[in-house]
Amino acid sequence: MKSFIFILTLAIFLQASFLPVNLVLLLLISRALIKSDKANYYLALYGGILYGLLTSSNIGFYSIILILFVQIIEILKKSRLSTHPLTVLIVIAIANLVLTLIESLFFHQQILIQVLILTTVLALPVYGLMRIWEERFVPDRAIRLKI
Amino acid sequence: MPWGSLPHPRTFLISFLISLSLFGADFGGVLNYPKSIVSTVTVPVQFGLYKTSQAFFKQFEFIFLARRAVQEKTALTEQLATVLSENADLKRKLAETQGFLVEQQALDPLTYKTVPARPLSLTRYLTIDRGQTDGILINQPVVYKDVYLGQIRDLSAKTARVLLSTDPDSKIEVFASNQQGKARGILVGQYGSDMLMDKILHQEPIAVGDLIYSEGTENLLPRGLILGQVSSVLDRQNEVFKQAVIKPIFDVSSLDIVFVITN
Repeated sequence: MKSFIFILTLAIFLQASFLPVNLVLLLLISRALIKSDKANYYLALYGGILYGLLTSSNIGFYSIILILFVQIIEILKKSRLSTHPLTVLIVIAIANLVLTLIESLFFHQQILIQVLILTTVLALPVYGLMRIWEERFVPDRAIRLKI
Repeated sequence: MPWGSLPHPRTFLISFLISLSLFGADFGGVLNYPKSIVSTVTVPVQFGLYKTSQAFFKQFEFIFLARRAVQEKTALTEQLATVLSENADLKRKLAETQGFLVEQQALDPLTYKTVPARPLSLTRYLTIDRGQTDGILINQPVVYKDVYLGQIRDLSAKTARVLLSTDPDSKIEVFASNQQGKARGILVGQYGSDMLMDKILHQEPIAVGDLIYSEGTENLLPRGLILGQVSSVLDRQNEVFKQAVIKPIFDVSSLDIVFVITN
């Protein structure tokens, strides 16, 4: 969890400084798809607030959207196809598109198709890496050694 | 969907309400002061990251610049080739037009009907880009200005071969004219660039620098076309006739256009 918070913070700084790819969205949605956890909501809240601060936009704006995305994904996860790579790709593409549309509506930002495509293309590698990380390196509390 | 069946309803509600209240507070300007305090810390970090990224990408910029330079060079080379080709075409057209104007001044268009032709190759014969379809006939004279170059030897639909006056097969009745009088003879091509005027009577005057004209006795060849200039006279008293070496006026290989007298 600490590692993820560190990576998320770094991603927010990078994204707010120069990276055109929406890394925050990628990381949060990937984690929400991999792991059903209450922490996803708090991470979305934290990510949204920090991103709002760093980009000098409304602090609660991104939090609301990211929390809503997390909630929708939690609902979608009840479907059997939720772990299919194509589903991940579609979910991230739609979420990214929706976020970009909302941003253009509220902040009059230009919609850059190439950035949308780049973020979508990065979805699968990020999802894959996070899945490996969560499955191999993060201990599950449910597993206890019987001594 | 009932509220209770939603995943983590309480957490969702808490985080959503916190976000909503932050949204409202920021919208109302309540958070401006804390935001400015945070900015004093985060902006230098962001600026540092931005500068680092700029420096990092600048290291690889030369790759894209080199690639762009290669692409631009290719494009410019193509453009230059096109411009050079167009320039050559325009020069050729200018030479043709100038040649045509000179031709009209030298040969009266009311008397001579000429067809302009472009030389295609020069080996023993001169090949031109006009043929039967352009109304060219065998034995028609080929000139530049009022200077005789040769006559049509054989024809195809679109090209013709010209027997040059310097060819050994070329024999034309000619005369040289100066203030002392006229000298008649037969102009025979030599192997090379010169011609030989033969069968000149000893009593007929001919001197170096005299111009040689066609007699006009051959079929289709008009009288008075210039064939060359006397470069030396071979006057041997023990022979029946004297001879003169004739140099052509123009170097055929340097001409961009020639004219066929069709009528």
